[in-house]
Amino acid sequence: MLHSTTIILISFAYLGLLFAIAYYVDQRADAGRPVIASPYIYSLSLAVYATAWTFYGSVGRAASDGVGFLPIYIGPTLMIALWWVVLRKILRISKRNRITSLADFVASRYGKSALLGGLVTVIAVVGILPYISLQLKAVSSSFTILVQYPEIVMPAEVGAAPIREDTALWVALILAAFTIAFGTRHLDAAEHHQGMVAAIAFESVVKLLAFLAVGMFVTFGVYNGFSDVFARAAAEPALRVMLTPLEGVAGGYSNWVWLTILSMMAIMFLPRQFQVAVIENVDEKHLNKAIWLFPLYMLAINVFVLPIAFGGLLRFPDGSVDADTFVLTLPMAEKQELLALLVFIGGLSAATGMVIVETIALSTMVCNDLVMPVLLRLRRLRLNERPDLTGLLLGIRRGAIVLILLLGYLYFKLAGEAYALVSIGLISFAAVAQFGPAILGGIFWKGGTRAGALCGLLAGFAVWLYTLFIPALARSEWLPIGLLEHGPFGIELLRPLQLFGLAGLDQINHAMIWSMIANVGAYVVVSLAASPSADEHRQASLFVDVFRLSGEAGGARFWRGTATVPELYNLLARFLGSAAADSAFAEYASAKGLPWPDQRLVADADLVHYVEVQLAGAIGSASARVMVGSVVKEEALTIDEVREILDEASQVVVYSHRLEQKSHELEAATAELREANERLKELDRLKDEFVSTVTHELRTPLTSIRAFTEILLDDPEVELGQRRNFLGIITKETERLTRLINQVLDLAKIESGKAEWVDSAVDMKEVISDTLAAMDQLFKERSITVEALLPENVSPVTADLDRMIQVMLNLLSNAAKFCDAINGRVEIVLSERDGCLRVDVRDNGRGISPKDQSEIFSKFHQVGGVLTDKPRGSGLGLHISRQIVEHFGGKMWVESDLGRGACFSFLLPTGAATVERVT
Amino acid sequence: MSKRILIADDEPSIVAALEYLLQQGGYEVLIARNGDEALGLIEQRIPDLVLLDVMMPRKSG
Amino acid sequence: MTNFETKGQHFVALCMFGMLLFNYPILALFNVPGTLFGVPVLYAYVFIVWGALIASMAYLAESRG
Repeated sequence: MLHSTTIILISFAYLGLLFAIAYYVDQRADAGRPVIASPYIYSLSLAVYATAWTFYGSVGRAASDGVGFLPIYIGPTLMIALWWVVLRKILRISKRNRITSLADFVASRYGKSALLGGLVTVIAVVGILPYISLQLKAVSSSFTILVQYPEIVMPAEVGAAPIREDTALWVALILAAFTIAFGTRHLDAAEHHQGMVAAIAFESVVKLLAFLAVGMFVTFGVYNGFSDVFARAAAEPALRVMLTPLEGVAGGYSNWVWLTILSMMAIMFLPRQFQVAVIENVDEKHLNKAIWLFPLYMLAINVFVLPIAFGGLLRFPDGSVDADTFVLTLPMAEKQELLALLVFIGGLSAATGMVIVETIALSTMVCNDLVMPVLLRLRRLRLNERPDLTGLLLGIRRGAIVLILLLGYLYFKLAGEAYALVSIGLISFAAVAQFGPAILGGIFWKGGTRAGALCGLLAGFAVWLYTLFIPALARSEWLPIGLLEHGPFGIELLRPLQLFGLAGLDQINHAMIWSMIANVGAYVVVSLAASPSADEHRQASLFVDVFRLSGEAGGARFWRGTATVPELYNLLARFLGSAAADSAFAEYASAKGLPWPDQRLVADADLVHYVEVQLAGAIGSASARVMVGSVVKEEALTIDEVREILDEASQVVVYSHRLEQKSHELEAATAELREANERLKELDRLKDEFVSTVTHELRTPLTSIRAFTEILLDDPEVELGQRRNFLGIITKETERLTRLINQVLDLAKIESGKAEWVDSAVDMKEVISDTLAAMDQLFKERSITVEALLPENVSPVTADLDRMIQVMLNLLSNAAKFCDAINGRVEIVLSERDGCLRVDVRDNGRGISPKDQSEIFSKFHQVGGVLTDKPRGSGLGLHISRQIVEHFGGKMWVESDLGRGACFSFLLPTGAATVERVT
Repeated sequence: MSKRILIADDEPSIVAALEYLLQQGGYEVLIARNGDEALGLIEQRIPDLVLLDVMMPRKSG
Repeated sequence: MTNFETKGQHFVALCMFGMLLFNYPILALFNVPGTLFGVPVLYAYVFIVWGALIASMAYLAESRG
């Protein structure tokens, strides 16, 4: 039954089925009834990660390494846990910016750099070639083996076939045709290939079922369950060591770790994974299901790997059968034809799934990010004139598909025999891992620049080439093997597998360490060395802040230029066709509330941005930029202008802060002014009071002077005694007037600070004695007893002699005036204490009421009472005395009880200490 | 009987001048030095005329 | 902190926890002879932890807040 013809026919039938599914789904999608809006299909499509490598190679690896094959699936599981944030971010960025491929993502992030896009494409293509060759090898090998049924013969023994009969080549060509039919029937603005996704999902189911089938067969059919298999393996000494596989394996654990890390990168950056996970995603919410369904799938497909491996080892102990083939050869050995066929189809399914998606993704990149930018730059004029470019684009893609598959075949021929499947695959993993720093850095670090990404990628890729790619060629003897053993030109330090002496590591580990050091190091250092350009800055913000930005408004703001609507329309029509252009413009116009076509539609920044985004969907963002730029006379915003726009915003904030501050200050100043005004008004009032009081005091004596003068003048017959009396009064009043005026002047001088003070060392004892002597007459006339208690010596005080005399005169005359009428007694005490001189003047008069005590030192205050013809004061004496004492740093006060006399005291500092000034 | 005039003023010289002039004019003069005195005198011997100073100690005019 | 962000953090924690469990030295603990339900200890450990990890991710992803 298993003739080659049968197998070939069934294979074609299967491929036909796939095609039918894809076609059907595409038709429905075109008719507007999409099928793949399902999270389950999304999750299954992600399982394209499991290729023929998984199908055959896992068992192969398990047979030699035990669990060593698992990191390739556990790593992604761990990474997928992070997808909740990381992939979501990438999804959103990609949707917003109409990203069409992995290269487009990188190019767009770093300032829409065509160079970067091209580099990523080259790395991707070169890196994936081993992987593609692996699939070809798997399919052709499995075919060759199956055809030998019931004999079990390894392909290597069959011998190399001539070109025309080379299965692998046929497989390559057939797959190329198939992929072209699948993926390049038309151009989709968003690069969706719904039919392909549906077919892939179907394939994932097929390969899982096939593997589970053979797994269950081996475990429960051939043996009696898991424990049986392992028990039997334990019985074999050669196999027992594998039951504790990590022991004693050189670098066993580090292998595990690096493999995990590698796989974590791969699940994101393999072009096919990026394609199905990001580009083909139709709903962000599907992520929620995929996050656990996909890991579950991987778990399921790996459950039986170990039993199959051990089963194979037990069945084919002499090592004549390649472990990679156990999945197929075990059912064959047990004469299960149908199962073997199913397994073959499963393997075919896994391989075709990988090839289709990977090649479509790669061809898109080659077209959009490698060829188109070059063509646009080289023959710019010609391309601008061409009305319809869709044919060209499709043609480029088809050519790319064929080319990639042929190159894959070439690699297989050159280097495919040297390694086991797993190792080949890991070489590809290491290649796409180089995208990690640039992409992950790109979505989290705004500081990553284009130059940095370029250098990082180049450095990493170079190391990869040197440590993995070249050794593969050397091992297959296309390059001298001496290269590996002695290094280039005999430089041992540069041996590709022990670079700089780092030995003892698995080849993949070794390559990963060095390439990551070079990649990350170059990326970070170069990024930090120079600041980003205006374009890069804008793109960095759009990417890193995608969760914070609302809608697509962010892009249009930073643009300036002139264009016309017809120009933009023609541009879009040229690449997408006039139908697509019409619908795009109609959509835009209706959003603006206008029909299409319409004169009122303005070619503003919004429209240009919109057109660019639509265009990017077809030809990649870098090329779209170039095309739009050629149509629009654009003025590039320099980084300074961008900063200016941003600064303006912050400046407004600062300005308003300052305004607030100023108004606060203004308020404070106004309050101060108001206070000063109040004070001035008060002083004005006081001045008025002063003036009115003084004039009153002046007028009174003047009145009496005038009165008596008139009396004497009018009547010459005034009696002599009366005449004498009146003249006496006139004289006294005149004196009083003079005294008052003098005191007022004195006060004015003292208060305005214009008084002249003659400072000298004054002996208060002398002052008091002199004053008493001067007033002796007055005291005797009034029968006032005077007692003075003056110490022998007192320290001199710094004062004005005349003024101190004035003070003593004032106090003593007051005392004389107010002491008891009959037994008048005045006491003067001079003392010294605490660096001050103290003088007390006591009288035994009627005393001063508390109310008067508080007022007595104020201007014009006079104590009332029974007044006889005592000479009236001005009310200024005490006030002036106090001013004088205070001027020299002293204090004056009064103590009195009604009916028990009064005591006026003052202090004067001798210079040893200062008495507090009383304000 | 001559008219009686009360002078209420605390300024002695003014009082003296007024007193002399009024007595020369043939009036009977009463003198009060402050508001209280004035009130007292008014009660005792009602004057026909009161000459009142406003600013006096104790009770003002 | 939004629900989204909280979950994001939980996922990160899960990832780190997983890395811990699937690494030396914890992995080495189970690298011993003997079987668990007839399956060698290391294999059983790996698959059980893997399964538990997936179950946790499912719970986190599907739970409502």
